Amino acid sequence: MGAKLASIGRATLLDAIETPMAKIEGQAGSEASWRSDPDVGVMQRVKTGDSNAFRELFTKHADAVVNFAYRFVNNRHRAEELAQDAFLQIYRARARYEPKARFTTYLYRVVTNLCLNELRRFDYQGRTEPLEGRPLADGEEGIRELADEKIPVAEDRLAGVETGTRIQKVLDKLPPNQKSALLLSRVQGLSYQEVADCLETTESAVKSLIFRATQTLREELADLLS
Amino acid sequence: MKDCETIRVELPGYANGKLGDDFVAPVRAHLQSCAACRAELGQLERLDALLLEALPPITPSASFASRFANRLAAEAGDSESHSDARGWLGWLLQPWLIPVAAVALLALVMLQPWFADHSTSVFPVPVVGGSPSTVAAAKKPASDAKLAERSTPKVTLAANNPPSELLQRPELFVDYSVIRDLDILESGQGDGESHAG
Repeated sequence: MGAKLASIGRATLLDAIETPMAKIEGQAGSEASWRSDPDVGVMQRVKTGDSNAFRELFTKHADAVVNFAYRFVNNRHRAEELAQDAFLQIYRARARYEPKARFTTYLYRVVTNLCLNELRRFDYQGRTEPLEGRPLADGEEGIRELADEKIPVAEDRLAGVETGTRIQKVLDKLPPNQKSALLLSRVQGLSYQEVADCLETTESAVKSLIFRATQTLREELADLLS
Repeated sequence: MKDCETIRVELPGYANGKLGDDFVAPVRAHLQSCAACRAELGQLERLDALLLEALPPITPSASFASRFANRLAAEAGDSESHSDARGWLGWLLQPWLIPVAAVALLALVMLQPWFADHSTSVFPVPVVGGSPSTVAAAKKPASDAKLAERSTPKVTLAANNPPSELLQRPELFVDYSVIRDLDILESGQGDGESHAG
């Protein structure tokens, strides 16, 4: 293996150790990538006061943002509030909007910051809710349906829900920056550079964060992967 | 082994196609010769599939969009009322008004000693005396005052310069003439006194 990869490896580890979430000034996605992003044009219409343009952006991205926030805080109601907060924040700052990256990078940077603040404010460890259906209120007892062994579909479904709950618990145990990087990359499908822009760090630090997150998932879910 | 450590950091990106072209070629070359890294890649691919399968996307609640529309409408309303408030504040904070206010404040501070010097003519100075009779004598006509001067020693103070020990004794600031007048009224001599005065 060439010296190039070795130097990349060293840079990755050093970034992870020394500047895990450091703010890197002037870092943004490649100009060609965001100039061709149609959402940037729509956001510029929002800046000029076009409320229909804002509705267009909300309709296009709201579901994905709610899903991202939901994986983060594991609470449907709170995830919806966080998604709304993110869009409101973007709306309030519309006059100051200057495109420097793809719109999704900008949007997920706002959402990620809100989610990280939320994690800092409240302890979400171990506070899980069913993956399907509404969350249970405090003291409320959920109705548990017993799986009918004669119906394999129901059994599979139950197993799927259990697996999902288990994976979500492992995700919740991850350090916030690892969780952010993993969700942005794997669930939202952002490129490493976009994840780096969202988290205000370097691309090599993102690789390291995702590597460590996947290592933890592999260890915790070893029986499901064998 | 060193190569494996370096390559494994790149494997998650390789597994889901997020690696840049510069990185793909060396990873691919290494995988051809390293069974352990190939096994790790297989696990990462299974993990990706598991994440997608076990964490299906959720659908926001039916009221999500309408709740946001309400918040947005409230936000728009707030910004309008803020702009009204800014109209009033804008008048108050006009650029020319700020230096004028600053000059006025400065003048007030600089003239404060002058106000202090002339405060005797504006504000009444509390009457300070050794006894009720001394104070009463001060208010009487000159002949009576002279008599009073002979009977009791008079405490004379510069009105603008009271000794600090006196300032710490508020009881000395009581206007005893009021008490005396009340005593006179109670004893029924008020009329005669007032006529005499």
